[in-house]
Amino acid sequence: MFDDFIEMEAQILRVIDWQLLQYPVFEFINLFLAHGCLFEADLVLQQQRPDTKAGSTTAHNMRKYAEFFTDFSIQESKLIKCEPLPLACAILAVTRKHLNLEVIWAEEMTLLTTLQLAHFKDIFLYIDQRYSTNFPESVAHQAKQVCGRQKLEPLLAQQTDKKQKSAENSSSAKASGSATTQPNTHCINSGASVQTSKYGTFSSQKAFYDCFKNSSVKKESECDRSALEMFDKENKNARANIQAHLSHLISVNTSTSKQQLGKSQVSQVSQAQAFKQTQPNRASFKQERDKKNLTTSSSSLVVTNPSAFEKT
Amino acid sequence: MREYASKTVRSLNLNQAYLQSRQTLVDWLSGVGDSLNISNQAVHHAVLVLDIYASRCSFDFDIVLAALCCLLASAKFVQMKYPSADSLNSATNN
Repeated sequence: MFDDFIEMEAQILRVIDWQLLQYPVFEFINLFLAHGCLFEADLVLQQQRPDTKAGSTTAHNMRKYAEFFTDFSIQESKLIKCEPLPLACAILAVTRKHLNLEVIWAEEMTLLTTLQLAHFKDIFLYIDQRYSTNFPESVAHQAKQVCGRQKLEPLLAQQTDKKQKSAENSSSAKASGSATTQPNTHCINSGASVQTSKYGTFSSQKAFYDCFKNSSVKKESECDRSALEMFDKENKNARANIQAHLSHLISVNTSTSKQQLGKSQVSQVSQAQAFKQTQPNRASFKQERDKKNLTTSSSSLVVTNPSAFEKT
Repeated sequence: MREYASKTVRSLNLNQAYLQSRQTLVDWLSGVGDSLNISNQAVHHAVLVLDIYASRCSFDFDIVLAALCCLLASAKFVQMKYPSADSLNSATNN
């Protein structure tokens, strides 16, 4: 038996050409979990305690859930040909979903993994579907616990909320009485109450995005560029508004500072003139001082050295 | 890391017979790894090495023995300690 093991091990190593340095999905998951996949802005949707922030128990559960879904996905033969990075992202997204977090794929996750949800949405849906078919009881239990709706992405969710509002307004204007609601395609769990997004303001996200844009990390991969370009296209109008607002603020600040500077310069000039007026004339002062010196020196000569003067 | 991993995955060419028995094999291998206190990282590494071996191997082979040997090689590669052949044999209830 021992010989069989040795022979087979040698054969495996020969066939794989001793290339044991391989990166399974588990390595990617470990890497992302080490960086942190739970953020301060993350809200846990719970029926008993709504709007609770993610704590240490959530962080502990995150690792357990991520390892479970990694084990779950490694058994799926359809996911063998999937690239490890999108697969790892999908596993993390499923993990965040089953942790009942409000936003499943937050903006920080996009920056961490350099992938948007659209890049691995099929894998995410496949894993989620397979999990729900294999463990229907736990999925039903989770659906009971969730309060509100989970959102796939913060920006998409905001956009769909706006669309919903506009659709509701138009429908209420057209039709009388019953308000028709458009189904939200980006919300997964249909809960009883709809919660507003408390993820953060767009301006803060934009600043965060700008910081990322200037960093060297962005220059390294082309995937980041494509993701950022998509981000640019989506938020072009909002960016223009922000830039206009910023330029207005800058112009207001500069005008006020100029006015203040002008005032201070005028006050300095007036102070200098006043100082000149209060000062006596320099030439007259010098002449008076020389005269005084002469008189004092002559008197001192007379007084201090009378004998010498007599000798000479 | 990303390029290397995606290159490895792209090179995989698994036959249907292996794919049919893969799910039960992976499940069984993770059970053996748990009983021998082998880390989860080593088990995942072993599964990937087994996939690479199965895709490159042109002849028939004992799939269970290959899985155990992959687990042994991965435990040697990833961990400081690795199980002996006897403990591997006993863990398989052979």
